[in-house]
Amino acid sequence: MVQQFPSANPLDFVRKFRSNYVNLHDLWSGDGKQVPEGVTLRDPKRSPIKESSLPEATRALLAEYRKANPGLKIVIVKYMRTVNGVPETVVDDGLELPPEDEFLSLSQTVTLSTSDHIRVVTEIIVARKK
Amino acid sequence: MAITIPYTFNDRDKSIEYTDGDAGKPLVLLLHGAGGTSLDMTAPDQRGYPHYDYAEPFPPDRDEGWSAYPGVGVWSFTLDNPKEPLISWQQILQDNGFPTATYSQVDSTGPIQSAEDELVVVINKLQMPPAKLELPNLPAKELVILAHSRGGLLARKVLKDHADLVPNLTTVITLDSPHLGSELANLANTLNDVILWFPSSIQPLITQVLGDFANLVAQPAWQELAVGSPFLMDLANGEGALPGVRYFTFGGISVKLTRLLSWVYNLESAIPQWHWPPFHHVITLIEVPVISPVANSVPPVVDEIANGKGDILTADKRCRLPFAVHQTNAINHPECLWDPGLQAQVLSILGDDTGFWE
Repeated sequence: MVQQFPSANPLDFVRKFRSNYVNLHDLWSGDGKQVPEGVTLRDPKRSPIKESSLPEATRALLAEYRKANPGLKIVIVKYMRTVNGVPETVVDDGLELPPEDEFLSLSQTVTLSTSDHIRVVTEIIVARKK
Repeated sequence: MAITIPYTFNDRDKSIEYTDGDAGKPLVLLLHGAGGTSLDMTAPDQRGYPHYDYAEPFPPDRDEGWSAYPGVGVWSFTLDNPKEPLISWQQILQDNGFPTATYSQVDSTGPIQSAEDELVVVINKLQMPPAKLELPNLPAKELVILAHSRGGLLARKVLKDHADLVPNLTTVITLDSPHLGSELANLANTLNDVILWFPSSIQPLITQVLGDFANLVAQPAWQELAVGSPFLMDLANGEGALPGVRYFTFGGISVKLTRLLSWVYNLESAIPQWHWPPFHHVITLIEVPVISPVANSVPPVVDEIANGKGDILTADKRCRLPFAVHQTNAINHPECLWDPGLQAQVLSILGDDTGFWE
């Protein structure tokens, strides 16, 4: 049985991503605020997100995109790793997301499941393309 | 107004459901098919027959909220929603001023003999003087028999064996009655095989749609209707149209009962967002390719289940009588109980206008 899945509208998705976005740096930093237990929050200026440290599959996707769009400059600006849907590591600052025509996101999800255990690890990367 | 006319058959108290109509219009006696009840003719939506609204537009996408894991692939399988309301034969005839009578046949899954004996009792009852029946108006002078499925063979059997029983009979109309038999009776496992033809994950759904039909064709009532059966041979032997009676037969050539639908995750359900949890699940309803609709997709082993030739239980070519005017419609077997197009055609016959066939 061949299943026909509905196609996605890229611009629509970027707009939804942007509308659902919450700046976690602002949410957790400042007077009286604190980072939730178990979460590591880093500033990208102090801990730059290096492309070489991204998961191999996402680097391959990025390379493929660069090849299709030569001359494009891509700068990674935000990173989040979630485990079972809960943030574990967040690299974010007070800056908003890139505008929709400069927006690029990458992600990778890996899972492990047994009869008594489930682990879903997702890494999300936001970049600016120019 | 519905009136109950009691009668006794085989020591059982039973009743005819009678509805009044305009003076001068014939009484329409409604005969249900094998495995049926009087509800077939009065409230078919209560009978559990497949009556899916396969032309209904798809609903909008559904938001299933945020999740920790990506939404990928099929969320669920489903069928079309029920089509409602259904206008029964009793209702449409009543709305057009025709008195009607119907009843639940005895042992409707058994051989036809006891149903024949009972129909004789019912017709005799309907021809009793009105005072004895306690009807508000005189019963109609003329009688029409409108029969679905095996009801058409029941009518033929009674009229052949008791030619003088109904002197006021003017018209016999049969709806998808397998006058020449049904090959599904010869190959009783065909519909079960059809169910098994579908992927195992959706067989429970397909059983919802076809299970009752599969059970019915294995019953004695349907086995008696096997192509070339002694019953059919005997019935046709020496049979002819009764003088002054018009005969009309209808056949169905659609095996479409429902679309097989699937809620699937939108692509965006698989792409994480900057959110906690990261996956926004949105599902879309689609028609499953290749195996939908049911039962158009199944191998047409016999004409009865071949789209364009049959209606799931009967084949159009076997719903004809040599002395009847025949009409073919693109509807399935249960749809004969509520299809507005068929109802308009029958009303046209009852109004003596058969121009739509020319």
